[in-house]
Amino acid sequence: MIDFGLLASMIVAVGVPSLLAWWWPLRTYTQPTGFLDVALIPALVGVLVGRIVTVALDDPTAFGRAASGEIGELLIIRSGVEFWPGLVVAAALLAWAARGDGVPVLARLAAIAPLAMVGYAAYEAGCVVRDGCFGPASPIGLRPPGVATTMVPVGWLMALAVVAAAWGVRRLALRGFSPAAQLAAAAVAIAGIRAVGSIWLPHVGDGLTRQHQTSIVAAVVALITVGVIVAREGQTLVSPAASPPDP
Amino acid sequence: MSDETEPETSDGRALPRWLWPTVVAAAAIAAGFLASRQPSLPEFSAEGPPVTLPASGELAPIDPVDLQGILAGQEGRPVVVNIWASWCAPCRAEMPLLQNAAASYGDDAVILGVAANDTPSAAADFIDELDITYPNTFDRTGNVARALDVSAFPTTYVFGADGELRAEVRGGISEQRLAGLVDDALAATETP
Repeated sequence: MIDFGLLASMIVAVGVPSLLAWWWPLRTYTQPTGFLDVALIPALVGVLVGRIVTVALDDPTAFGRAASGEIGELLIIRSGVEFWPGLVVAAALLAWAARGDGVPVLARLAAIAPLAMVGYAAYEAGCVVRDGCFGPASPIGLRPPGVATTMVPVGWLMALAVVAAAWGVRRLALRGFSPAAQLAAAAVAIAGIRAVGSIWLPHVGDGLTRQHQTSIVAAVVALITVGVIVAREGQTLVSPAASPPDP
Repeated sequence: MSDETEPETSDGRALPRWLWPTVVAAAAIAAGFLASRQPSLPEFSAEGPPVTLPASGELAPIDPVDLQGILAGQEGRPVVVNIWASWCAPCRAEMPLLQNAAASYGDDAVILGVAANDTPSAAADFIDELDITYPNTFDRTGNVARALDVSAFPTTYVFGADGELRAEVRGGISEQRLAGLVDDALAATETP
C-alpha cells in the first residue's frame, strides 16, 4: 500500500529547496549545480539507512526474513526512519563527493545546510497529509481525520522554526562565520527544535519517545561542539578561508 | 540556479524554466490530495447483548454479531480494533506498538485484534511469536472484514466509549496517530 502522505512529503522536501536554490546558489561548486543534483542521492541513501537503523532497533529478526525474500518489513517507511543516523550518512556522502571535487568538506556542507534545513522544514510542513504533526487539543488548530477536537499542528510550528533557523545559518555565512560554526549552529537548531517539538506530539505511555531522546542527545552534543568551536576560534569566528556567498 | 543553463531535450531544444516547478507542484498536490482523502466510515457499532472480551491468547472465532456484542460489553471505554493477518508485514511492524498501547492504557481503553483472511494455526503462531497478550479473535467466515469494509491489511478502527465508530486508519498506524485517536476518544469519554 503506497503511503501517499509520505510521498507528498518527500517531493516537497526535495522540491522546495531545489527551487530555493535558484535564489540561494551553491557557491562552493566550480560549475552551476542544482540542489537536486547534489542532494538527491545522499537524501535517498540517508532515508534507506535511517530505515535500516529503525528495523535494527525495533526488530533485528526482520533482516533474517528479508534475506529469505520477505523484504516488505524493510520497506514500510511509516513505521519509522531514524533521523540522526540518516542525516549523518547523507552528510558523509556529501563530504565524500566534496573531497572528490577537491572542495573543502566543511565549506560545502555549510553551503548546503540552509537548503537542507528548508527541505526538512518542507517535510515537517507536509505532516498534515501524513500521520505526524498534531499536538495538544486547542480551540485554534486543525481537526485531524477521526478526531473530534481541533489540535495544534506542531509540525507547522516546527517547520516555521526550522525556516527561521535556516535563515539564521545563512546569515552566519553572509557574516563570514566559519563553516564549522555554521554547521554546529544548524545542528543545535535542528536538534533543539525536534526536542522541543517532541514534547507536544502525542505518544503512547509516559516515557520519552526515541525521537525525543535522540534529539536531546544530539542537541547536547551540538551545543558542546559549539562551545569547543567558540573556545578554539575565540574572537576570530570569522574564518579567513571561508568565502562568504553573495547576498 | 539563476545562472544555470537551460536544460535541454535530447534533440537539443531548451525546456521551459517553468516546467520543473510545475511538475514538482503538481506531483506534491496530487500526492497530498490522495493522502488526504478520507474513507467514509462503515456503518458498524456496538449492538445487541454484551459479549465478554476474549481471554489473552484465546483467539476466539467471531462473526460480526459477536464483535458488535464485544463492543457493547466494553461501552464506557474506547475500543481499538486492529484487523491483521500473519502474512502481512505492516501488521508485524505495528503489533508491538499495539501491545505497548494495551499495557499503557490499561483499563482505560481496550485493544482488540481480529485476525482475518488467515488460518487459525498461522494466526495463533503469529501472536505467540510476537508475545502479544492483548485480546485477539479470529474472523472465521470473513464476514467481520466485509462488515467493516476492510480493503487493506492492517486496518485499525477506533470506537468511542459510546460504541460508535470514530476513526478508521488503513495501512500501518503510527504511534502518534494511535495516541492522538485514543486520547481524543478518552477526552470525549470524560466530557460527554
